[in-house]
Amino acid sequence: MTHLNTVLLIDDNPGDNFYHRIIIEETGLVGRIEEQLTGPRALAFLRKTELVIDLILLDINLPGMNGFEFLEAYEEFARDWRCQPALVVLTTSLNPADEDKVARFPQVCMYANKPLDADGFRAIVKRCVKQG
Amino acid sequence: MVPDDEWSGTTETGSIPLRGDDTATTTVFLDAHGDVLHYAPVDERLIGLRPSDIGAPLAQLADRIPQAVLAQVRASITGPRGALPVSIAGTGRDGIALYLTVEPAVLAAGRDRGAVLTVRRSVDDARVPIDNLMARLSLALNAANIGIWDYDFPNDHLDWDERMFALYDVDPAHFGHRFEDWRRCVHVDDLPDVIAQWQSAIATGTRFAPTFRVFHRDGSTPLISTAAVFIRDAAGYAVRAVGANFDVTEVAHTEWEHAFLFDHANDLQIVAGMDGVFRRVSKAWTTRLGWSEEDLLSRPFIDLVHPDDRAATLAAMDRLAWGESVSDFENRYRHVDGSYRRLWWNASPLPGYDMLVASARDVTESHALREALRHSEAQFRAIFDTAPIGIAVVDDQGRPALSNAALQAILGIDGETLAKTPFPEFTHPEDVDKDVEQYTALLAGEIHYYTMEKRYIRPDGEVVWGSLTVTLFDDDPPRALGMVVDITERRRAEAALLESEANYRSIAERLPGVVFKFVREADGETVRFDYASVNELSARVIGFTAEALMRDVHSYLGAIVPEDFARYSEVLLRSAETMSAYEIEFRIRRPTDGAIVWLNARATPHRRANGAIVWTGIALDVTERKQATEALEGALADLKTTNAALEHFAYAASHDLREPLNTVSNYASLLTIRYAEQLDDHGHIMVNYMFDATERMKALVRALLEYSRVGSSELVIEPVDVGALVGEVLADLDHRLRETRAEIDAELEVTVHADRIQLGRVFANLIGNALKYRRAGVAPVVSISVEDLHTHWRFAVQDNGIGIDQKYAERVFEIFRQLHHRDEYDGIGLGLALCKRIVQRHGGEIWFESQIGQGSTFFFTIRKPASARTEP
Repeated sequence: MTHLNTVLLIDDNPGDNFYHRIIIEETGLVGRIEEQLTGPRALAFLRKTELVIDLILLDINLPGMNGFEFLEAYEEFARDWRCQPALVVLTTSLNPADEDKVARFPQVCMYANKPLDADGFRAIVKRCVKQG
Repeated sequence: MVPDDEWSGTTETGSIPLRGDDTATTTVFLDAHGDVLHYAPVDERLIGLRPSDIGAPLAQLADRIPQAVLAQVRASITGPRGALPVSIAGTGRDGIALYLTVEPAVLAAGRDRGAVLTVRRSVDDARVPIDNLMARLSLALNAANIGIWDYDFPNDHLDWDERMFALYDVDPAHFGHRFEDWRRCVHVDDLPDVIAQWQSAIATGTRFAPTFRVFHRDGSTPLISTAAVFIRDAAGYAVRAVGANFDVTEVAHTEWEHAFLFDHANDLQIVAGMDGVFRRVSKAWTTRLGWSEEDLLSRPFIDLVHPDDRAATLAAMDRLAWGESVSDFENRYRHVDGSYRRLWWNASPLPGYDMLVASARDVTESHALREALRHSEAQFRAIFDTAPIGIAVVDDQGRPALSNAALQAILGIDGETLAKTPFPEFTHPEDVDKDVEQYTALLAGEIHYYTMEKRYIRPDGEVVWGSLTVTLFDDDPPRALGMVVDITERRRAEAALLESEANYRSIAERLPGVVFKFVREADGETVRFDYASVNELSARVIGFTAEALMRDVHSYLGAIVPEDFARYSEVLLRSAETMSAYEIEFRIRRPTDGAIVWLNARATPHRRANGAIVWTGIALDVTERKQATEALEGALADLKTTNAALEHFAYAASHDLREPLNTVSNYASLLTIRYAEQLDDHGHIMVNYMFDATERMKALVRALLEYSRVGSSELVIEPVDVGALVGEVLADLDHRLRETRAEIDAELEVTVHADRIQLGRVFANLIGNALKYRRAGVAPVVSISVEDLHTHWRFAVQDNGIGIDQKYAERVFEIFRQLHHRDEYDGIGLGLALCKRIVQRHGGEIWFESQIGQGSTFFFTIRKPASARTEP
């Protein structure tokens, strides 16, 4: 299975981030895990980081700038990137309207319900991250 | 024969040399054509005219007068300017000098012009010498056709001259010259009277002048008149008689005819002297006036003339005495019974002017008729002139030859113009054909009259409606009497009525329901629909047609749902008692399918003269509205139930959800206390996350409960002194105010109607937020104000904090929505959602205006109760 350099978790709930970190570490597929609690902070991080980020797990329900607003800003922001990270939207809402909204963003590879388990994460990697 | 050229003519009347007793004169009256109208009969033999010549041209005179002279006479009469006076002198065919004068004359009745021809013959100028008396006598006797007889009594010898033989048609050769021979010649019927007169004359010397018939051999019986002179001896005995005989047949016939005509004419005829006494009267006088002939002839007729008419009658007599004819003269004569008859006279003087002939007609009745006619004409005229309706006499060309002022006013045309204008010219084009058709039929006698309502067009273009009646007035030439009543106003009113009826009808036909007149008769029992209008759609909706309602009111009343019927009856009864309008909503069960239809009926009653009460009104189908209302009421009820359930759920959540949460949180606490040493760092982190999550969960449940209670609990609206309320809120926040060194500026001297506790929470949340979202290092400045928006109060809470991006204008008021991560500003996102809910329940709105980094102003409104609203 492909090895990922860095995964970025964007979620306002530190407990969820801690949980996902444990699950992802256990799969052994990821070299480094970064966490950001809000959209603006995530954008700021992306702007200045030198890490190679292969996958972003984005929680839709964020305070202030929500997941969709982050996606809009990110679309603008990441247009010129040579290497695009895979984007996966996480949600607990199970709201069908959110699924439709997500479909409007081509960068979004898929969405998944959280919390993720190890198999869920492997499926994401298998589906969204380029082999090699 | 005398040559024509021996005659000479002159117009100078003065040249006529004949005058005095030695002339004989004939007067002939001629009409304008020169035909003989009349002549003086005594002189007829002089010029040879006979009664048969009357009405014929003057040609008969040609026996005595040369044709050329007659032509001259005729020319003078028939000239283009009428008769001219002419005098002609010359010699007749018998050699006797004649003088003719022609004078223009107005003939008796005044009808015609003509001429009077006078022919005078000179006796002295006779060109034939008369040698002796006998020769002259013979000439005279010959001329007069008179036979002379001479009877010698002693010798019984009768001597006849030759004219006697001609008169008696006796051959002289066979005449015996005895008395007996004459006697045999006399008609047997006349003989006794003749002999008696003869004997009486011999015996007593009375006049012997009998008239008798004689037998001629051709069977005719000419009438002979005789006169005799008796010669007596000394003893007085007649010894000789000498007499003359002459044929009076023609005279008798003419006189008889005259007498017959005179006596049998309907008119009253007279011959009278200029002295004012009747000489002869026709029988009609006796029958008409009752006077005997003696009465009439024995006194001046002026005695019988009505005193008022005497002067005029005498004046007419004067005119006659001057030779004028009098015509068309009327006066009144007294009847023997004292009444007066009105006579209409035509009179002419006889030649010589001392006598007159006159004919009178009794016009008493016709005068009365005429008077009556004149009276009725005057009445007609008065009606005609003053009638308020237009009247016209219309000629056969359709022209109102005579029109009254009213008609002229109606048509706007003066009488003179109207008389020249056929009626189609001032008739509306659409009405012309009908009028002309009927007028033609009227003139043709096919109908006696016609009436129509028609339009006239006045010269100013205005249309006038008239009700026209036309009757035939006269036959020849046909004329009609037309009467016109101006009905423009009536037609206008009718048109307006029709229009308003049409409007009403079209409205009624479109109404989704029933327009009705419902009658309760005077007995208080009988009810019926007097009128109902139901359009097709409504008939389907209510299941009754207008006809069905009118026909059978009881099936309609029976269709009213029983539980509504009692109410319906009561409402109607009360309306009848108070005579006030009613409105009611009730259900009927549609007879067609049994479906329930809601009707809203409203009607106004009025009482008829007979005591019946009539409700005029409408019943509208309100089923849909009713159903919608019911649905709404159902939904409201549902909502209440739901709210109750939600509140119950909220309580349940607060208790039942908290229990397991408490369990989790309790055990998490125990884990950190009892197993602290066994747990590694990760273990501690995990347990802390569990603990935090349960705490947060408890907070969320609490918030949810609070939010649901704000939405579902009953509002307790009361007057709230906002200044005092905010003061309490600030007191509660005192610790944080001092901590943040906040500056509060509140100007709230108002009392509003609100739920005091809930309004307090709004202020607490907004002020709390203003303190919470302050800028780092900047002491909060919060000003709270209020503005009267008439229907609402608007409050504003202004701060100098961090501000809010306008794109979150909606989102900030959503529950559990936060703009900041809780590691920056703690909270669960309930405050503004709660505020919004409270404000909405108070009939208001909440919003904000903000500049990032400079501050925000939150506005919210609270609706005033209707009584507290002010005018702008």
